[in-house]
Amino acid sequence: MRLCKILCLVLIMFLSDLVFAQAKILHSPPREVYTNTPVLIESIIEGNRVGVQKVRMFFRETGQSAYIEGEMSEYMGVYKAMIPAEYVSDNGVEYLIVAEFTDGSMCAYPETDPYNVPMYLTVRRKTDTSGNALSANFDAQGGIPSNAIILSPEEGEIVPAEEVLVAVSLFTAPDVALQSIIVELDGKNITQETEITEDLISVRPKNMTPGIHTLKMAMNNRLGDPFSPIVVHFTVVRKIEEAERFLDVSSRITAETNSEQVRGVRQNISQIRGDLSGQFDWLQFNAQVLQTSLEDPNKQPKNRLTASLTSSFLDLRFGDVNPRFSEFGLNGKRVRGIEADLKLKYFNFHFVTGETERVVPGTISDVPDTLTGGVDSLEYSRTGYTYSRRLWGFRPYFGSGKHFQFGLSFLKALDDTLSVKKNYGGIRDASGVNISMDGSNKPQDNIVLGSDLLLSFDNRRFIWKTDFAVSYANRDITGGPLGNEDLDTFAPGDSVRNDTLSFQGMDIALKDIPFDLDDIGWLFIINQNIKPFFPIDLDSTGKVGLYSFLNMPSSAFKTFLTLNYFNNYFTFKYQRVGPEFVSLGNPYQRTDVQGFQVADKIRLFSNRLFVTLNFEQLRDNLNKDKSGTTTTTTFSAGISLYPGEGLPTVNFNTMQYSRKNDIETIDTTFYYNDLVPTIIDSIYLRDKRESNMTMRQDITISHLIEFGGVKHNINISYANSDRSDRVSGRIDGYQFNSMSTSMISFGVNSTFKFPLKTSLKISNNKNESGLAAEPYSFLSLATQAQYDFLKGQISLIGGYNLMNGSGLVDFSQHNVFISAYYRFLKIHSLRGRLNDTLISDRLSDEKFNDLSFSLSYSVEL
Amino acid sequence: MKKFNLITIFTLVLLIVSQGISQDKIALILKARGKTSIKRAQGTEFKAGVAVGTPLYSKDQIRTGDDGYAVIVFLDDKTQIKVRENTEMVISGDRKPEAISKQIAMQFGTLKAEVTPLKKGEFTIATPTSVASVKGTVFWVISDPVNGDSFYGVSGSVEVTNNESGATILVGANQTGKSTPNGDTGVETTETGDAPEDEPDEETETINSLRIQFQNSSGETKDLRIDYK
Repeated sequence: MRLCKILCLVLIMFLSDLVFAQAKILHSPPREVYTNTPVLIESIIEGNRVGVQKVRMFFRETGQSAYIEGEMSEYMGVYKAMIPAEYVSDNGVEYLIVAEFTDGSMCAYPETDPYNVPMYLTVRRKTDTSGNALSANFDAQGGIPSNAIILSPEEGEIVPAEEVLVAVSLFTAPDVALQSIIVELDGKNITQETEITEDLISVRPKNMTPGIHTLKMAMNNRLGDPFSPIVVHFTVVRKIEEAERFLDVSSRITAETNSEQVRGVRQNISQIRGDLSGQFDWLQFNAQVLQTSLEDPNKQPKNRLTASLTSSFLDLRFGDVNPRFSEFGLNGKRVRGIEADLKLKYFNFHFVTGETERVVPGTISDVPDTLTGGVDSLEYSRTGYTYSRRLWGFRPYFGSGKHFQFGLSFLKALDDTLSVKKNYGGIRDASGVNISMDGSNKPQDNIVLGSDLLLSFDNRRFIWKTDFAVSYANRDITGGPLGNEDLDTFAPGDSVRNDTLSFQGMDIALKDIPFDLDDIGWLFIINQNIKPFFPIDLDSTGKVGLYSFLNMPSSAFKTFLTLNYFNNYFTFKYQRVGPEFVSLGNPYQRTDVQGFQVADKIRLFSNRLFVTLNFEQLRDNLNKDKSGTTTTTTFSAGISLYPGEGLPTVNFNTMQYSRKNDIETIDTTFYYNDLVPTIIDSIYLRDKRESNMTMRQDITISHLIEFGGVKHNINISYANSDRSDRVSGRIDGYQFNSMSTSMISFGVNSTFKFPLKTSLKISNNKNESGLAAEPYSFLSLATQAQYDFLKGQISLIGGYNLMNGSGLVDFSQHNVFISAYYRFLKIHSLRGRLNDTLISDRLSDEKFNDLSFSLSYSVEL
Repeated sequence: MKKFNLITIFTLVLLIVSQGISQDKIALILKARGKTSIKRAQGTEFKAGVAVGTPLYSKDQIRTGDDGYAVIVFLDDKTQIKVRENTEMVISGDRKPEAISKQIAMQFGTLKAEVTPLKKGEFTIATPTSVASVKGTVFWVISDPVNGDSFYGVSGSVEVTNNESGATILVGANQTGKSTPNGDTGVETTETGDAPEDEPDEETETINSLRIQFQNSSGETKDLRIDYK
């Protein structure tokens, strides 16, 4: 009854996994993804009321724990980024997209728990229209060994132009299906010119130009299973004396320009790429340059410049480098500077120094945000700025890694607090004017100490790898190091100025501290913002116990075992990454996580059937300082069936992902009346209970048929994903962010007897979110035809694409394109593309006719 | 009559099969320079102008002239024969599913054998004077029907049997084995410069030098040398 007197306003708040803005990322996952082939990811930001700060994509090979970050470049409203080919393996690829806005808000795709349940792409082995594997990462170790013997050329061989002979013996590989053999030289299919007999594949390529060349050969066995591809790099010289003195230089320069119009707005982008590589006896060198009109001093650099000198004992790289020390400390982060790796087999030394982020001044509001302290005091806010960040590190390591390697690493990253100038854009930070640095972007300092151990036996069938790292981070070094006189209030909870530093039951007089914090500032800046305050908890005796050591909040540990025996590729992984572990050299490492993963990939029936099983369980809240501990459990299974030539290949994958926390009650807050404290004004309910399940399945069927002399490669795929809530008795008004997506596609690629290739793809993608007002779906149709003239010197390509969006995005888009490729005088190539798009936006009742073109010229020397 | 027919059919099948076997490739010409000619097993004369990539069948013959040079590679294990100038030889191979047993019948000349360690099959070089049996080694042979054979071991070892006396010697790395038509054999350490050298990958061109001497005011001199062809 008392409740009847309550003037209550029940506020219900539902907690989502991310703080979403109103904006939404629209994205349609790529339909066909093949091994060792880069994947283009595109997205559109819809509904944002403020500017987009940046859009990033995070990706990883399925099974890895850390994501690789890639910034998506905007091109006429479409954000694009590429997942590099080396991450696209049979294991699958996972990715997510995060957009950040100028007001600090974010949105992500997938919308729900994107880091834990990212988008998953099934990766298929690449086949051409004859059904042959072009890239045969077939088994867990990269393909079925074929036993074919490369007679000529040898890897790295230098051959005079008139003596180039490609010869591969099949004497010891009798089960090769001869009709499946594909021979490519520098990417050009030369199978037609190749003599293929039961015991020998040979061809004498004509008109070989001096420089580095790459021979690739793909073939299947008689059951249709692909063998590991043969890849040989060799160098052609005019005369052998050249080869003896040196020499082996090749280069490629590509200039391209794009003029694209999207929804009536035109944007022009031009870029030039240069690549120079060569070899001088024992030394290899390489230089790559990318200059793009997208370069903007107010953003992180888009231009790239890299030069490298590599040899068997020393690698030197300059410019934009992506060094890797270990999984935790430094793992592929771009650094603009110098990288050196001295490799003396038993003792080795890896070193890197450079800049990871360049200064971006950001923007200062045109008019003062607030007037403080009277009319003479103006306060401006500043957003979008980035401090310049320098990083340096070294890793001495012992052993080549063939059987053993042990490494120790040190990494330091430090922001330059003076790099973002206070006075900017005509506004001076002075008396009466204050420029506040809004946002969470504070200058930081970070050090990481790490060690790693690798043991490998039995021709790498047994591999055991362990990484350990501990970090120290300072989240705000604006004020610099603390003075010793302020140390008495340094420890958490100690605000008494008594010239004594007190923590964990110890009291240290300030006068007894033998050093000044300023003196060690070059190594690490210590002030109130360091995390953790003390890296390890002392036990009751004041000593460091083993438990404390293993559970340091800023430590990270991972051990990884792989066993490749009896047609099983078994992996076991255990990891523990403390909640306060920070490495600015690997900023997207997931923290506050502990758990294990067990996986097995089983090859059956002479590699015709693959079964993949994977179980992973992870939990957070390692410091027990959150209101609940969340446990995620993933079980996935996959079957890949390659029954042989003439029969369809089938891939089926299923995944079950559950997320559950140990909170069992509803968080209730009572707000009492100020005047009558016994009266409750309002009740604030928060339902933090979490137990949900995501189910995902996908199936792909591919089949090659030949009809009327035309080879048709038919692909049919279906995928669906569904996320549902498992908590009963939710409070009224609670909105669960359920998500349901489904995609079905059909495609056929045809190769005719004459040089014509056609393709047709139809797909339908439907998305439904519990938070969105209505579902949205895409129906797309893509057709394309390519005709080659003069043995591929000239190619003409034309096509028509249709995309129809309905629901939340209601539009139709018709696209017609024609493109041409012309290779002339052996070293020159020219590409052009003309594109016309008609868009009818039914939501805004607008129509657009966008004409775009691109032109590209390449020369290889 | 019936018996005759069976024998005829059997003989025909045998002939066809043996013909088929003889047509199996056993090796390939990897390099061919200068005067290099080939005579097929069924042929009657040498044909000049051997092309790189030419397949070799059992009992094919190779002959090189004054400036001839050829490299032959076997299909089963990548064993290589580098044939120097003024050499003649018959290349035979007995193809079995697992390996090719290789026999080189060398009339005269110089060759280098780089024999992949053999798991199956065998490799022999027969000259008018000797027979060398190899299980995996690199060695040179200079064969002269009048003066006999010299075997220069580079790595591994080669067993040489003299046809006249039946004496056997084992030639190891950095050793020279001699085998003469009158039956003498012997092994000694290879003296520097005795063993043949690999054919430069292409005929060398004469390099001329132009030397210019500079002298400064204090009398110090420096040479600038320009090499040209």
